[in-house]
Amino acid sequence: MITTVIGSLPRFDEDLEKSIKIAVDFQVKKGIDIISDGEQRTDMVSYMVDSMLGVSSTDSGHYVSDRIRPSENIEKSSKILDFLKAREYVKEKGYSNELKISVTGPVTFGFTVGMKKPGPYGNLRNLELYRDVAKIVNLIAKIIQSYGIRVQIDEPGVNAGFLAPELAEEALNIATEGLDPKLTSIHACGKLSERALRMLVRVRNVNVLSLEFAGAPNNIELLSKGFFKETSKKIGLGCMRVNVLSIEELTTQEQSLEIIKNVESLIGRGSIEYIHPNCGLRNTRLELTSMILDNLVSVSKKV
Amino acid sequence: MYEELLARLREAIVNLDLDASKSLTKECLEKGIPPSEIVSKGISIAMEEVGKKFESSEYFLSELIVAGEIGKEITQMLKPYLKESEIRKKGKVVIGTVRGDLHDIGKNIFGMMLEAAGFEVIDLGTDVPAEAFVEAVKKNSPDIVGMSALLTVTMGEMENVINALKKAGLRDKVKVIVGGAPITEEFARKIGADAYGKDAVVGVEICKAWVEGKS
Repeated sequence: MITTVIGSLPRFDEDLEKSIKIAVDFQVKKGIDIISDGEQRTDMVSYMVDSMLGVSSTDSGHYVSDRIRPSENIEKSSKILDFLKAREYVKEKGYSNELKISVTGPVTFGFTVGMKKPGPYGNLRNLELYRDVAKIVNLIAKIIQSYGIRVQIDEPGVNAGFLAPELAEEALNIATEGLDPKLTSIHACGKLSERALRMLVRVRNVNVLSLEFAGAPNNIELLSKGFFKETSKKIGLGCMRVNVLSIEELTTQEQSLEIIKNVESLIGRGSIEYIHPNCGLRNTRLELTSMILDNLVSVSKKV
Repeated sequence: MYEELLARLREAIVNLDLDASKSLTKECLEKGIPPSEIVSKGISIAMEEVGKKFESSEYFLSELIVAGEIGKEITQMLKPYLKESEIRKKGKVVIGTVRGDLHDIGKNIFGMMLEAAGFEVIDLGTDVPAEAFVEAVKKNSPDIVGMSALLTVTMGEMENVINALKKAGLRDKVKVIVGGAPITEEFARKIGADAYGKDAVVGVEICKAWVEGKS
């Protein structure tokens, strides 16, 4: 079974460029098939800020200061620069691994910056806020896909309940408009509601829904409801917990295999695109991250 | 007559209509409804209704926040008409995200909902060390301390804060509530917190029950 990561990894080095290279090497050495750039620069919200105008920053975070629109230098934004550094390094080293780049979704980003201050949008229920962010997400995703690289739109805000799923759907459809479905996935973490999963299934131009099943048995129950079988979308299967503080808390290979078996019995092997740990490795200790990826690769060989 | 007007105000708040909420508040004042009743029979009940809609997944966080903002805005409108004794807050809460953790969405929503429910909130921000919680308790004498953490690696800091409060002889003077994605009821109990708020609405209900002496 193919292995991947959601995106972020612990920071490896003070020097950003060196850190991205180490992140790439780390994943390749571990045996991960589809690797990320490790999201070494910063958190998922800050990563997006320099790709747009209308969002300002203070020590306490980012807020909407004007109507959000693309930066003129979007091609030189942090997201693109770091992705290109990773891509160049993969080529330089002759690695055959595919790359998958995470882009923060419109609901998560819009809500986070709008919560601090919604600026001209007035309040957090103004869909224009999410539509404007979605257009920028779409531009970034198109730039990345123009290199033939996979894009994963990260939307923890969907399961966190930032916005009604039906409203989130509109923003996500703008974000994915014109994207290559084969190269496009959406990631939502934690426990999902049926309404949220049904919405994710409906989003256009998306081939894979990367979800968490380790520590979220409710998500397995949702798959048992059958509506997932009606879609051609596949599952990215989060089968290992990452919010762990000690070796004892790690998801064992046996537990992981059980999760995969359960999902497989509900949707069939053909509907699983790849397996990965849950999201948030950025905040997991490096030695535990290393063990999680070792376990993941071992599990992939056993299924 | 009063009742009908207050019902319309509640409806406007629940429907998240800021303009209607403001004009109905003005009308309530013009019709001579005591401001304290506009708060207790209008805003407070409407906010409880919004909380119920959130708990039943009819409303989401965006609706919760907008309702909180409306509640705050019309409370501000009423302030000049309220007597000093009526302005007195329901209780005082010190809140913060613990050391090492920069996430503040949950903490901010909790703070806003507390304010909308009539609490005075002292927000210490994010990445707050245990000593800062202790200092804030010494300085402000709150009824409640609320701590938030999103990361597993930082949630242990909550226990450090509770221990620091104990060491400073302040633990018995405040109730402690904890919340955040990795937090569970069991964890809250284990570290010696008084309660776990599974979300902002539940957290505010717990705080209200505490200051109203229900538990």
